[in-house]
Amino acid sequence: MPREVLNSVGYDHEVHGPSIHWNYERNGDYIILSNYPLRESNYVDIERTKIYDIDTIDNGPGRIRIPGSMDDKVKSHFFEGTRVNYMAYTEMLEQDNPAVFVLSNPQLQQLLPREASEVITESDGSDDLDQSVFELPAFLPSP
Amino acid sequence: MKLVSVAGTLNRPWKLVRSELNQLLGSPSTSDSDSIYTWTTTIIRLYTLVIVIDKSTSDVTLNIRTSVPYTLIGISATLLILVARILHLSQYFLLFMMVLCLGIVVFPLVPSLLNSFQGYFPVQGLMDTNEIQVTPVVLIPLVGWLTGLVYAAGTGPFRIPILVMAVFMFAIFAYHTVPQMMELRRQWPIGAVSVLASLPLFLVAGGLALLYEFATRLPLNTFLFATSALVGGMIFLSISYLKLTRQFVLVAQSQTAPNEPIESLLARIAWGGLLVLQNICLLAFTLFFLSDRWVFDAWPTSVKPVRNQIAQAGLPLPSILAWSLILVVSIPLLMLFILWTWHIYTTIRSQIALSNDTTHLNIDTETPIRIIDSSSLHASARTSLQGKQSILITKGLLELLDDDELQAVIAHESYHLKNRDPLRSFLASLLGLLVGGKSTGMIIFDFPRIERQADLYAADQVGTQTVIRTLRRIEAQETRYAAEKVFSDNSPELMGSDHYLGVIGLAWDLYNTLFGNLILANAHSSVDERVQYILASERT
Repeated sequence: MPREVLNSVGYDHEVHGPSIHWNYERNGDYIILSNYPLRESNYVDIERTKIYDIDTIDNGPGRIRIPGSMDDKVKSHFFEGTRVNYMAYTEMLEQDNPAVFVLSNPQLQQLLPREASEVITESDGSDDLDQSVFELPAFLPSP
Repeated sequence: MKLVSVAGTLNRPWKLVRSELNQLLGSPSTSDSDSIYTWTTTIIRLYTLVIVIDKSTSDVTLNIRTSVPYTLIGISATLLILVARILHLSQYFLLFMMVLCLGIVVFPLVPSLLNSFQGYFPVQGLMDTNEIQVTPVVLIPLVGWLTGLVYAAGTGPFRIPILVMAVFMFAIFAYHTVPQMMELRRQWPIGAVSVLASLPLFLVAGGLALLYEFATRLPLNTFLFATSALVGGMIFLSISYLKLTRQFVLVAQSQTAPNEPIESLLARIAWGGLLVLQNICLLAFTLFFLSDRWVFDAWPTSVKPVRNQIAQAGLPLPSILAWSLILVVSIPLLMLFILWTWHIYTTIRSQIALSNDTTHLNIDTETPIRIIDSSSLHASARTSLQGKQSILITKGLLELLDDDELQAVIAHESYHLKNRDPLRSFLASLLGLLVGGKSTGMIIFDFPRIERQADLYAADQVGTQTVIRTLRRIEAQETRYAAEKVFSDNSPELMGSDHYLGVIGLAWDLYNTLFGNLILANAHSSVDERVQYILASERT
């Protein structure tokens, strides 16, 4: 977790110490980190977890782990090697309970303007091999 | 009165949605529970758009309403057509009432067609559409219009195509207005493709009937004028058909409906059967016009009067001119035939290429694995012309996945081979001409259902988490490729089929729609849907 995010949503809880609260938004299964549970009806709050290694690295990043109780589908966006993106609207950081989205690359791209999120396959249809492969029952691509 | 209703779920964060709608439509009203938000806007006093979002469930509903007495007008116009039919009133009166009925049918669709509502299309981009319902009342003026059409034009040689078209149009509208059948699926393009595939046959059947009518009933001068207009009209309609296909491709590529399979075998057979029957009827009708029997063993009856008229006009080579006219009128059907021939040729050629240009992967599997030298992320099941089965994997995919994930892909493809899916696909290709395109023939197979079963088979073989991880890894990599391409290269060929300009580009879109991979590409659900389905199956 980058220092900027830690400073925004990390919270020195009287019992748990440095920690964050995990929630997700039903629309598209976006994970949201916050100080306290998000109570609005479009969010599902999960649990509070500790921020690890926060004291061992001066001004460096802390470490967090997705709680096991997080919904499996939401969790499936993240696995070893996944690039994690943190995103927030200004108003999210300025409210009493600051919050930040945690997004995988595909989730982030979905939120970008359509021109940037258009999925483009490798094939332009002119190559025999690629074309024939794309016309067979297949594993991917998804639309 | 509610004319059209679109229902779905939000696919963007609520704060983003609210912010965008506030900018477009102003402040919403909210319910007492503070979870339901309603935006309202009007256009030329005829229509009102109401957008209702329940943020606690993410449900979205778009309603188009009107204060016009729609039902009353529809019933009145339909009754007047029936009265005109019984009392044999003026043809002009009948024509006027038909135009009125058609206007009433189209009325609910105008806002969508013209993008009239500020906010209508932006909202559709923020949601996954699950249902669209046009008011069932639209069937009343439709009956009026079809009755008028059959009465006015469905005589003599026009009777069969007009009746076929009337039944087919009514079936399509009924499907789109009966609420319990209106759950949209990502494979809905199949239905639209089928309609598009039938249009060439409709055009040719109607054109030949008109030519026959002109030759047998019109005086010489009028015949020459009417025939010239028919030729011009047919060229115009052919180009319009191609452009319509392009629009369809663009819409099909951008739509986000969920991908529920059509579980009912009866529904699949009924839908596919209707389309096959319609195309066979039209094809038989076309052949009937070119011969006086069901086989070509005599001089075509539609050519003879046309030739006689041309000869009377003193034009040279009347037989050649008559056949040329019929060829021009048959352009849409010829186009379909050429595309089908090209499709069969490229299918066989690519089968040979796959045999020669791939290398074996040395791992211990039941089915031979062949590697394609391509950086794209793809794997597929293949049965060669000799009946040999193999699994094809691109080098890009091989380099991306670890061993377990590779086994997940192999298991998925193995299911396709066990299920003989490549053979089904090839069969649909062969029958493509008869039923107006390979895509039409694939309805009955219901590939979205097959893809789900293949995912479950893979999960059973290698484990749920492995399959999910594989899907997510490929999704992430494709996202990366897409982003890199968009941000690093603005060349036009990256933006879809638009890079093929002019007639070739239009023909390419038609080919892709009728014989290309449009249906197979839409057979796969989004990765989110696949993950959800696999997890749900595991829980049960």
